Amino acid sequence: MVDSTHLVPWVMGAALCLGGCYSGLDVGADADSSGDDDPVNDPEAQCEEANAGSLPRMVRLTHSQYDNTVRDLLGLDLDSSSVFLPDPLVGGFSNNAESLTVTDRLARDYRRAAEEIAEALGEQPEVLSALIPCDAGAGQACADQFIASFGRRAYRRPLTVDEQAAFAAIFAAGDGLYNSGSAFDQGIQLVVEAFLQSPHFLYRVELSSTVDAEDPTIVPLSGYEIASRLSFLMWNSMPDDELLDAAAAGELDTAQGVEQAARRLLADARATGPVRDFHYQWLRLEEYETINKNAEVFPQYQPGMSHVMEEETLRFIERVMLEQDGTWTDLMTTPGTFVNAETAGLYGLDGSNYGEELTWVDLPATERKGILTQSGFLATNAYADITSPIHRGVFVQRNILCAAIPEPPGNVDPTLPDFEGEIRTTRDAVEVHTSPVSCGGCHDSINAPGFLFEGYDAMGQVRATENGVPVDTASTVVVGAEEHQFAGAMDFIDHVAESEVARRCYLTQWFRYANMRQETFDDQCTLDGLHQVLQDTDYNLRELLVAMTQTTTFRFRASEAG
Amino acid sequence: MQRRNFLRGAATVAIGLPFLEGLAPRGVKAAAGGNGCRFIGFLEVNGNDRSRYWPTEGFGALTASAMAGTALEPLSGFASRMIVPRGIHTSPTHVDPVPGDGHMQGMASRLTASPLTAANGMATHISVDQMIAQQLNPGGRPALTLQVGRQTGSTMGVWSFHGPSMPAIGENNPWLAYQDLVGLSGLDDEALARVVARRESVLDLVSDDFETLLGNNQLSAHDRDKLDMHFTAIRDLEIDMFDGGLVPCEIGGEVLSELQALDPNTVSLDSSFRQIARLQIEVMVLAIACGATLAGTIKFGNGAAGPIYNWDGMNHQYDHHKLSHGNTQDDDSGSMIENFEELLHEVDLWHAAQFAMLLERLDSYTEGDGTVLDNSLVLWTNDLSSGLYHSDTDMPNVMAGSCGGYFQTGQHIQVSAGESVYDYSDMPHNRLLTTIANAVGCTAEDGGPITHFGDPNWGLPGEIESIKA
Repeated sequence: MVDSTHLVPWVMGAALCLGGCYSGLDVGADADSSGDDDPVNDPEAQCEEANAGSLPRMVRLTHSQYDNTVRDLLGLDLDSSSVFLPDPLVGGFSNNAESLTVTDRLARDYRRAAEEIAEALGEQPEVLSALIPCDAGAGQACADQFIASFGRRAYRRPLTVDEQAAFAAIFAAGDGLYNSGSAFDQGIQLVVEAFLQSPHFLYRVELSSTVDAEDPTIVPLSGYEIASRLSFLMWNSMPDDELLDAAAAGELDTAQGVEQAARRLLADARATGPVRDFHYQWLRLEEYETINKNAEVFPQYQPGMSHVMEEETLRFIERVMLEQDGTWTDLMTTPGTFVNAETAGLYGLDGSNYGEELTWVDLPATERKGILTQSGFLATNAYADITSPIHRGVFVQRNILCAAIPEPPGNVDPTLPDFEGEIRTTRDAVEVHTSPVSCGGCHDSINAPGFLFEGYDAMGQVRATENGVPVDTASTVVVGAEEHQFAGAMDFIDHVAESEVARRCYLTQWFRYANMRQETFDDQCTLDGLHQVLQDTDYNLRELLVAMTQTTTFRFRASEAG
Repeated sequence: MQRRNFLRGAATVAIGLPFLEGLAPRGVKAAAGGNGCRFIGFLEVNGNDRSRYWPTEGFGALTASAMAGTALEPLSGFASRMIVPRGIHTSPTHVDPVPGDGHMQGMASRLTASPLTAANGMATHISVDQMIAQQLNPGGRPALTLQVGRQTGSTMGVWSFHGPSMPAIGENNPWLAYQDLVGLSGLDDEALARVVARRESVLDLVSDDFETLLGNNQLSAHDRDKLDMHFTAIRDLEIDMFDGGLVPCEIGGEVLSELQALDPNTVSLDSSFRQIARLQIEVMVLAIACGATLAGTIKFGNGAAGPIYNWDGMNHQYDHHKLSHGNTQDDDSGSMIENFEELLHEVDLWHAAQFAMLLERLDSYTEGDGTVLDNSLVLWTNDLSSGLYHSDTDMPNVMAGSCGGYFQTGQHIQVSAGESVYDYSDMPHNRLLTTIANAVGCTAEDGGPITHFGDPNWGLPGEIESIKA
């Protein structure tokens, strides 16, 4: 894309620094001024009982879920949603259940896509025939079989008798309504076109309403509703036949059955879909695209590099978290990454030894560990020629530690003072610029983690000096409610890898993504429970995803939400 | 533009499809609500070169000579039909303790007069265009929301809202927007009949699904609203099953060929910006003049971004946001762009020319004693006043059309009571939106006029009396 997004001007002019952060220990609890309530990390709050939480009964598929579902349902990889109006971004994630609505424009997009997909089936008879479970010569009898089997996959539950009959009528009406093809094929095309526009396809519908026999505050979901929750969490797509069979057999009515199914889904290649999608959104990888460096300072910079860096991060996550069954600690501390000829130099390697393909390399654990030392993160959160400890610090506090840092006030002068006199390094410039007392409320907690990364330049390359002066990476950082002293990034990363604050933050982000909603006070117990379970696994990602499926909020609806 | 071919409709009838009697008339008639006035919002972003933006010659009658040499010069032919109100500031202001930087806040509050939420960066109130549409459009059909350049669902890219945290993201492909308005076009009668029959079959089935779901008493109010919005949209689609479209008009000739030839993969690009702007204006005029909607917006680019202007005599090296800060980097870390004010002036002039094109097109349709422009209020505004300082006082609001005589046009007027137009005084911009909402015929819950558009915790009540007739 040609448009660029700017770095939000975090550096605040002295007179303009407003309140919004308490200084020091209380970051995250400042609900009033930021509006960003963070009850789940409030150590004072008491947990009583795990709650089901409130989710709409009708949750529209996200655009990526739509595309994935069409792919798995029909065997057509059309990327139809590329021309849809984009999904709204809420709290950093594009799958917020409450905000996924269908306006007039999107209704037309759905119709257009359904018509194009039906047309594509006409043009690719082999794709169409692969969907038919019987001899097309049997006509309506075979169509009925198709409607039942296809309908169960499209609606993610068996059709009712009425629905079956309605689609049979659609099939019969199809003959002659397409440009070519047999009467049977045209009937099938029209059936597909109709399925793809039904609310039962476009939404994940949960109508279960009978309260639990033992706990009247919750409503158990049907097996099919659980199957959809599972597959959209684990695959970002529809359930497969095996999962629907398990639902039919009642196997998903118990926590054990859900766990077993979750583990099977996680072993499938499709599990990379949501793992990539979650990390892409949580780590704001779309911002890599804004990387832009001063060619005079960084002659090695190439405009296309950001895409390599993005894929580097995603491949790292796939390898460490799925292929190697990794943990939060691995995500933070694995010393190695993927490079190609273009990016190898950034890690002190000889680019001529690598091709265009990304290749795994081990890196010295004294210099590089995990995602926070990858060039994409470091270069995105930096200026064109110098680093930006403030941007790096804000990212760490917000995304890694879940501290509530408000947006900067408007009208700030983002210009750091020039290097002259006492100001010899970027760290000096940031310290001087944010030194007024009024800035400290936020900047004490922002700058400190940023300074830890001063051992990496604006391209993310290891450096010992800046401007001829040895870099100072030592810093005292607010981590949740405590202050810790660190010598530099390696030291900090080791701490974060074991930190309950950071682990709980990762869990909270996953909770939002997995449940398609922001957490509330009522979710405190659920998060507490998950945290206890996951601590025993060192925060293994697969275990985290399995544990999500074992919660009350995943397996039940709140009865009062009906 | 030409009237639609009546025979095409006749051919559809001849096929004898049984559903014709069920055709609701609402979609093919000009909208009946309101008082005949329409609202069009036109958004430039990143502020202006303020040194050459405003009319010269002080306050008073707005004249062509006062616009000569300014960014408004391309509009001088409309001087007597415009108002340039001065001293309006954005509310909430950037010094209020609300989330978001200047671009975010300026964008989200522009038509909503509400702060954005820290949690999701979205406005907390419906925007005036969508409120007009909900109250006055047939069936409450949403306002037409068009975008020139890249689309995004994030805070920097949305200024129209269906409600709190419900962004109306702009369509940036005019061919898709056009097809939505006119329905099927260019098909022979047989092919058309096939499409119509398919859509009818699908609609029957889907309508049953929606009705059954809406009848389920387990649904929450929120679920029901959401489903109802979707179902309403589906029923609106019913109209173009008959090739009637939402409007009984269509674009012909070269513009149609151009629309048809658009490559969906390049509509977002800078190289298409100029063409997309012109085509979106054509689509907006069609929708407004032919009664598809009483409100619509066109937004150019996104806050803190924007194209590199390389057309119509502009030969820029840096994108719009960088120019607005006079710096070669978005984060001000680069070097100064020496002549950035001159370049920004060129950008302003270009937007003025697009605005003039929109006004000319609206003015080319007679309606009663006047033209469609006379029966509209067209507002050219911005997320910021000075992009360099992210300032929000004396915001650019260039108004055209009298809304059927509601506004006293031909004025360059300070509407605020403060000594300087830069004062935060009595003129938060929600008052402009209140005035527009009433001009178009919106009403409060009690049936009376709107007294305070936007979040009641911000801004001030009352219209801007000095711009009214």
